Amino acid sequence: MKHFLVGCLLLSGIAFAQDTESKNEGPVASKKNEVRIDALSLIAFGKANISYERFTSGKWSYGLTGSFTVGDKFEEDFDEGYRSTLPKFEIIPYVRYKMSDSDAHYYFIEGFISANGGDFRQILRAEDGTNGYYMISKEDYFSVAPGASVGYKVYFGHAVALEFLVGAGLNIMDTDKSPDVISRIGLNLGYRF
Amino acid sequence: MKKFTHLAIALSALFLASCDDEDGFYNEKYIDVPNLVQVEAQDVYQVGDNMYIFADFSRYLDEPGFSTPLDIFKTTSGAQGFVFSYTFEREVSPGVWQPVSTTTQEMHVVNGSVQAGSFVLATAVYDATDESYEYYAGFPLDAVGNYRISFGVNSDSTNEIELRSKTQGNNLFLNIISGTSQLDNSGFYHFTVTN
Repeated sequence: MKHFLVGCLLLSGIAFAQDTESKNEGPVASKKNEVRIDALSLIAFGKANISYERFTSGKWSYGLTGSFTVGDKFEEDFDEGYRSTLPKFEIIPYVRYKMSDSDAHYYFIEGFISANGGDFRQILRAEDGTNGYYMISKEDYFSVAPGASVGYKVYFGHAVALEFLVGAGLNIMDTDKSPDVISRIGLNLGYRF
Repeated sequence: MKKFTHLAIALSALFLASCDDEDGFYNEKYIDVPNLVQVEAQDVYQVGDNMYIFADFSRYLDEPGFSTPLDIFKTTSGAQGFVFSYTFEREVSPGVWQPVSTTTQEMHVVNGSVQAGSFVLATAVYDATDESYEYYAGFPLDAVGNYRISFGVNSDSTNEIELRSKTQGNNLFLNIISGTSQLDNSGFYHFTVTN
């Protein structure tokens, strides 16, 4: 948790430092805030994924994504034993760097830290005094995954954003219970204001 | 842009690798307990005889590596049976083996339950009175010839017999891998039927 907080502060520091740049800004760049929802995660994985992004005057931006499970698919798979973890929430502070000069459409790279948690299941051998038996044990996990992503963003009408994002991070806490890899993939629809 | 493409490929590969992170069957437990199923061997088999397969094992099994017996009934949340399968083949010409089919009605079932066709799906049924799983059923031998039995019809095992619990719902499935010395190195039990 300590590492996670330090990471957040560092990312925020970098982003705020870039906020001081100024130049002539176009109709997109003059809008500094954006909210997005991830249509792909919602439809394909039953995960609600909501993001906020704050743009600086330069090529940097920073933001926060919150994700939580809303569908039954993960839970059913977990109960039926097709997965050992049931991700329940994810909070992802991130910082991005725009790879081109255009504001209307551009590639970007992203560094993020995912704070994620959920349920973990494993089969344990227990004793009832004279005999042993195997049982399914369920526990909570919490972990932090630093990672990176790449993406492409395009604006329609200077305000409506369509964004594709793919990336991954490696969990570094609770590694015996949490998923090894956290994937960050999305097809986001957003509004910039 | 070239560096960006390389970075994109690397991250995509990492993402795709992560897709397999959760593949698996986490309701399955495997243990090894030898000699749970046996072929009831006799010196001579004649047409009209039955070839019997039997299993009779307690709900409390010694498990290698542990000092306490394993309660397989409790482990499986009260599974009412353990299923295994086997098949009979007859040598129709030298080195050529053909499956021998029968029907559930033709099987002589003493204990447990059976579904028979081109292979036998056997269930050792739980007997609460003596807290054991029991199966005892005979396969009709209708013709002379060399026969062989295989327990690998639904598995990759050769000299092992796999028994799987009939677990209900999302509870734990127990798979018992039971080694046996009755089978040859190819996983067959051979016998001959005469007139």
